[in-house]
Amino acid sequence: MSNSSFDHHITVFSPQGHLYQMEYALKAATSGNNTAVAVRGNNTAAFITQKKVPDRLIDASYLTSIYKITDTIGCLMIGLQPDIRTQINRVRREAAEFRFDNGYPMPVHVLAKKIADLNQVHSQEASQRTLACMCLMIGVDDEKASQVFKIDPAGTFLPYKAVATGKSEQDAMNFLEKKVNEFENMDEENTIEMAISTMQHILSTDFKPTEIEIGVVTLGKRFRVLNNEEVEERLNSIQTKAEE
Amino acid sequence: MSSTGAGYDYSCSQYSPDGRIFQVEYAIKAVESSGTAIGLKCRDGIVLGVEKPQISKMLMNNSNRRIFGINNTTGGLITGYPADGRQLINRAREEAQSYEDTYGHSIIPSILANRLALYTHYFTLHYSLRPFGTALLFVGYDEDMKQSELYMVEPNGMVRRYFGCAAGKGSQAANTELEKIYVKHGGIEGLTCKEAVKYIAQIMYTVRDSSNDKPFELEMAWALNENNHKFQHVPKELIDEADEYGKNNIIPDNNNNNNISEGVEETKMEE
Repeated sequence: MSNSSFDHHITVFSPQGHLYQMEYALKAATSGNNTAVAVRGNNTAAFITQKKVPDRLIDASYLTSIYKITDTIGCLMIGLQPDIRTQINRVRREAAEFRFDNGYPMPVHVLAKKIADLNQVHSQEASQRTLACMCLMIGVDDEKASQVFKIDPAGTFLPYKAVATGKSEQDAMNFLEKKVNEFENMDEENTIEMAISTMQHILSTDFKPTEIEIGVVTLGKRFRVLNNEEVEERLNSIQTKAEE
Repeated sequence: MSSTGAGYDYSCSQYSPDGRIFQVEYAIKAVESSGTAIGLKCRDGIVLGVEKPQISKMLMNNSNRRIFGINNTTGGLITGYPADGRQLINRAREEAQSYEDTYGHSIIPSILANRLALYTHYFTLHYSLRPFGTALLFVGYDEDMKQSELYMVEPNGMVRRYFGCAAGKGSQAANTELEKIYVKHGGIEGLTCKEAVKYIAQIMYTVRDSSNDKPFELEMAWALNENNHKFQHVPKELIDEADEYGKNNIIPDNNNNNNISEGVEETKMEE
């Protein structure tokens, strides 16, 4: 803990070398009650999160954590909803401008780096606060097939074979680490099922298709969010395999 | 970890050690201390209503408007600081106009919601700005999806689509009453706008603190399907009727268990 409150006001280093505002922003981003998991398979990638409707009076069809950025890139954002909205606006704009300026779709790793760099600026310039949102970005392109990136408020971004973030991040990562060798050969359906199994493991309850949201992208196909029937199919498939 | 925010609440550009932004939370408190506002979606349209406490007997009735039109089929209700609210309404009108100029189509409510959310959120990012001390409830008609929609934009930049929402002093109690109404009518399909006008008045009278609160004036507006979704004020006769109804039918304080247990699990509110 810092002994000088000066550190807490703007983005300066504490005597111990911490950037406290970044740490607080990270806390704000993962303070919600949900967890998100993303998994990369063979030429495919999928992510999953819980869908919680806080109130019966809210129209649930408007709530989502999954956002399509381009035909081949999708983002799952958790954190403060208003910050997420602004961040998504930026991500979409960057991707669209790239496509317009360069004539070809923005590769995922370039977009991830761009967003991470934008986040980093806020940690160095005092003019604007950091946006409290964690981004899991999945995409396919012809350079590197499928990729999964996690971008945090401080501007760190890393490619992953599988990653989790949010409340049960540690549990999920432990689960995924044990299975990491299976990922390379997984096709679309198996990738989705791996993501669902991770979720089932962390939550240790059964869930209905309406309580989760899944997004998937595969080489040759567009990014899409699974509808209830497709989720149901995958849940049944996991059930059948477990019984064998 | 302090929950009072002391030292971390001077500007929007600071997080507290808990990861909260206190300036935004304070702005939300500004909304919570203003008159109750309610929006209610029905099968034939959407109704907005707000209670305006009578601050002085010298004020003329129907002045100090809280409900404004944004375009022909879109309109909003401001809560909290009226001056901040009017800025937001101005922005909404500009967004709607510029969308129509660029795309030749009247603005889609979800797009307007997105833009207002981004705009409101912007004011929570910078050291040199303060958040809006107002929540905006607005209704619009989506021509492609063929449905009327009700949104609420909050000072922190959060926007959601609702079947029923409330803001202001009595918002918690009002939200509970709104849920009961939905359960009783089996969802939006069972409710008409004329009934909603009466219910809103009834809720206003129920949730106010009759010992402390001053007499109030009701301002209501609706967008009816049968009127081509045109956003307009509710006719005065209906408001007066609703006022009478509300005054004489205050919902008693004891928990009406029969209301809550009927069909709570089966009620579908998604369209």
